[in-house]
Parts: sequence; C-alpha cells; structure tokens
Amino acid sequence: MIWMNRIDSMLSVLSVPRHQKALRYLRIVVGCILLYIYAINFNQRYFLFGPESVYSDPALFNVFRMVNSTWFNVLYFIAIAAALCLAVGIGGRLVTAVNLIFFWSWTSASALIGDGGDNLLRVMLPYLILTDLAEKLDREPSSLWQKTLGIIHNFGLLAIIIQLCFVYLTAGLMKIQGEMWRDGTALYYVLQVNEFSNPRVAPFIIKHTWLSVMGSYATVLYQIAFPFLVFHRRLKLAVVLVSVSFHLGIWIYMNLPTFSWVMIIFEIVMFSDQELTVYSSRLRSFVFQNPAVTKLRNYRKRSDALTVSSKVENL
Amino acid sequence: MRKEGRDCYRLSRAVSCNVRTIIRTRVVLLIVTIISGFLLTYHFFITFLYLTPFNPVKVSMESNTQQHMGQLFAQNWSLFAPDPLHSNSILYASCLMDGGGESGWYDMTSGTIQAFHNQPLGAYTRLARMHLVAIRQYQGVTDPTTELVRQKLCAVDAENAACTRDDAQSRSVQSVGKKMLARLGSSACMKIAKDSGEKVSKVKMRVIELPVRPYSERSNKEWVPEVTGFETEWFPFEQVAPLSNIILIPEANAT
Repeated sequence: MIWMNRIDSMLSVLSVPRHQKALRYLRIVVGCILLYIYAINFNQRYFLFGPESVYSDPALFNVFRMVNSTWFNVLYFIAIAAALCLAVGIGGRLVTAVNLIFFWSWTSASALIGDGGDNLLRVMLPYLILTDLAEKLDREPSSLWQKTLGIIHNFGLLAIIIQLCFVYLTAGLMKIQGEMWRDGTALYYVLQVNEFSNPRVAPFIIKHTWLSVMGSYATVLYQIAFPFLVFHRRLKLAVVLVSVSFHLGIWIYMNLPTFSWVMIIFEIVMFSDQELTVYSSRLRSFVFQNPAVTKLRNYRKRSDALTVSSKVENL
Repeated sequence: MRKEGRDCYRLSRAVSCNVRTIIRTRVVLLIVTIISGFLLTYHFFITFLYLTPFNPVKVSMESNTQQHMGQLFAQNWSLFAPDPLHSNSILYASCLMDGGGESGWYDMTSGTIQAFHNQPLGAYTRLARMHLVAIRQYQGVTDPTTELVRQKLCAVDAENAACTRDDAQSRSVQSVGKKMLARLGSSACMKIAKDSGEKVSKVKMRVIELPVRPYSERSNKEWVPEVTGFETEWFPFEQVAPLSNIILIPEANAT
C-alpha cells in the first residue's frame, strides 16, 4: 500500500492549482495588450486584416478573411469586446478561446507587421485556456471536478513555463551563431536601422562602444542562462528583474512596445502566489517606510493641516 | 488522500468513507495526470525538435514535426539572430495609368519612419516595418535556420541552386514577396491616382538599400553609404483596401 499512498500524495500535490495570482495578473495585462493592438490598428483595419487586406496567406486560418466587409467589422468589434472581457475577467475559458481564434486570425493576416511578441502570444493562448485565469479554483480542492481542473491548470502553467524557456534558449543559441553577436557589435548595428531604433536615445549606445559590446554579450549570456537560472529559488527574482530591464531597454531603445510588454508579462508566471505576496508586501514597506517617502508624507500632512487651520481662521 | 479510520479517506477537506468513490477519484485523477503528462512531453519534444538546427532526428521527423506544430504552434525565436539587420531600405512606388502616363517615383518609407519616430506608441509602430518583410521575401530570404544552411552551402558550392536562390523554396518565397510588393504598390498608387482622378493599370517598385555605418568606419567623417538597389517589373494593379494614413513623398521632394 506504500505505492498507493505515494500516488495519492502525488495526486494531492498535483491537484492544487499553482501560481493563480500570477496568471490573473497575466490575464489582465494580456487583455490590455490585445485591446491596445486592436485599437491602434483600428483605422487601418481594412487595409491590414480585411477581406481586401494588403497581404494575407490564403492557406492560413483567418476568420477575418472568410467574411465580407460588413461582417468583418462585426468580427473586429467582437474581437475588441473579447479582449475587454479577458482584461476584466468575464467569460472564463470560453473568452480565452475566443481571443485565441481572433488573435490567431490576426497573426495570419499580419505577416507584414507581426513581431515575436505576437508569435509568443498566439503560441501561449492555447496553454492559457487550460489554466484558471480568474483565480476561481479552490486552493484546497475537494471535489473530483475541482481536482481535475487543478491538474489541468498545473499542466497548462508548466507548458507556459517550458515554452518561455524554449524562447530564451533558442534566441540565445541562434545569436551565438551570428558574427555580430560574437564580436559584440550587434547592438551597434541594429540601433542604426531606422525601423528598430529610437533616435532620441539610440545614439547613446551607438557612440559608447563599451555599452554596445557589453549589451550584446549580456543579451546572449542572459538568454542562454535564463532556463537554467530561473528555477533557482534565490536567483529567480534577480533573473526576472534582469529580463524585465532587458525588455524595457528593447522598448525604449528599439521602439518595440508590444513585443517588450508580452515578454515582460509572461515572466510573472515564474512566481508562486506566496512569492508575489511577499514581494508586494516588501515593495509596499519599501515605499511606505522609505525615509524620503515618509518625509514627503509628513510634509503633505503638515501642509494639509496648515490649509485646514487657515480655513478655520478665515471662518 | 490520507486514511482516516478503517474505510474512510480524507481528500483534502472532504471526508469520504465510500471506498468506491475513493477508487474512482484516484483512477480518474491518475488518468488525467497520465494523459496530460504524455501530451505535454510529446508536444514539447516535438517543439524542441522544431526549434533545433538541422540534425538527423529533425530531418527524419520533419513531416511529423510540421504537422504537429501546424499554424497554431509555428514559432520563430531568431529575434535579431544570427545577425541583426544592418541596412536601411527605402521602398518607392511608381504607377502606370490607364492613359499610359507614369506617376514618377514616390517614397513609401521615409515619411512612415518619421511618423513612427514621432509617435512611438501609435499605428506607425507596426506600419513602419511593412516594407522590410516584403523586400526580404522578394529577395527570397527565408527563415534564419535555412539561411544558415544556405550560407554553409554557398561556402563550398557557390553555383548551387539554393545558393543562387533558384531552388523551389526560394522561388516560392519570392512569389509571396512579389505579391506583397504588388499589393503595397497598389495601395500607394490608389492614393496617388485619387488626386489625379485617373485609373491605375500597373505598379512598379524600386528598393534602395543603404548599409549602416560599419563599426570600422565609426570615426570616419568622410564615410558615405554605398547605395545599392533594384527595380521590379511592372506588376498588374490589384484592388487593395485603402490605407488612409500612408505617407508618400514624391522623389523630387525626398531628402
């Protein structure tokens, strides 16, 4: 009966849904990113995604191509509504599936304007359908149904984490095959390309050779190291913070907003509910117990008090 | 599940004394776990193969891999690898009207890039990249993994069809690129013709490539990029939904 007990305890561990908070935050941000993508392309929706769009591979799945322009409009608005529902948390798995259908169609139609962020989002959406994005599953599941959903949720979560590691490892291994990444000039070159450069800040890296070299090497090293370091309990936070800064850098220097946002938000799945609670309370205490912040708050209190007393005097 | 007394089992908070229920729960959860675990392992094994460089296992399982990954899980994480783009390109369009007159060249890129730099969160964030994909496809540039194999092949056999981009895959990619350029040009010509009230019959594209300043020339103030480029043949005009915010600059006004 020992092996039976082991199976039972394994099932008990597996059926408890993990990282629910992280997935809830992820859902909200993914919904907002989808809304942003649909919104900024609203004016040119016919040109990019409509039945007479500039380019859409007819072999690819695309609901926007299956209809006339009136129905295309209806579908586009449904896509916006579905993204809004995802951000707000209405509709559960069904809404996630609807978002998958529309965003899959969107990536099929956006061969000319797509980026790695779109690709990651499309690949991750099927895994997100498996997970509990509304934080509704019981943390101590009692019924068979809840336990089953808990197991499926955990496999979905695991799929997201493995996929994320594959992204970093592949990107890093591909880079070491490139001469420019090996000689540390990749950032120097790419930041001179108009489509991937913010002219307000990019010259700073282009002019400082050591920044370009260190940035190029750090990128390759961090991408290859990510899957091996991110599971280390003590290093996890540092690895994710490096990753977040790296993608913020891509946003600022290379002007690739949605790619950076998608990459950043998917890092959150690495953290358990407990870890997120600890970090948020540490952040809160850092903010509220910081001498500078305390001074500012005291100053505000004093100025409020002075305002009240002057009002009283005026009365 | 912990044993609670003789025939009772505790399943988290719920206590059940029905052995059948316990066994059923155990069997169902075990089946769900085994199936999920198998699917996850299989899926990521195939994904791993899909993402690896060319190797004997990948080649032998190519059809399975492609079939499994399909359109939904198709992915490319080259992300500026093996080498990032290191040239700036400008796409021009020219239109042949029904009456036989030509519009002259219009720069489709510079204005869009300017708008992209001025509005980093607006629509031009993506529109500014449209021409890049079309040009690369027209030139027959495929995915980075294939390009790496092509580079190796060219080093030993420069006359090979894959090296001269005359192989089936390159030709297929080029035909997609032609379609993209023809439709991009058609959208530009629709706007150009709208002002003159004429109808467009054909469109032609010109691509100008300007390499970025090489690292070795970073301090050389005399350096100027070596301009290269090409013109396409005349493509028949295609009906495309209009792009109202396309920015076109006549060649005479281009800087």
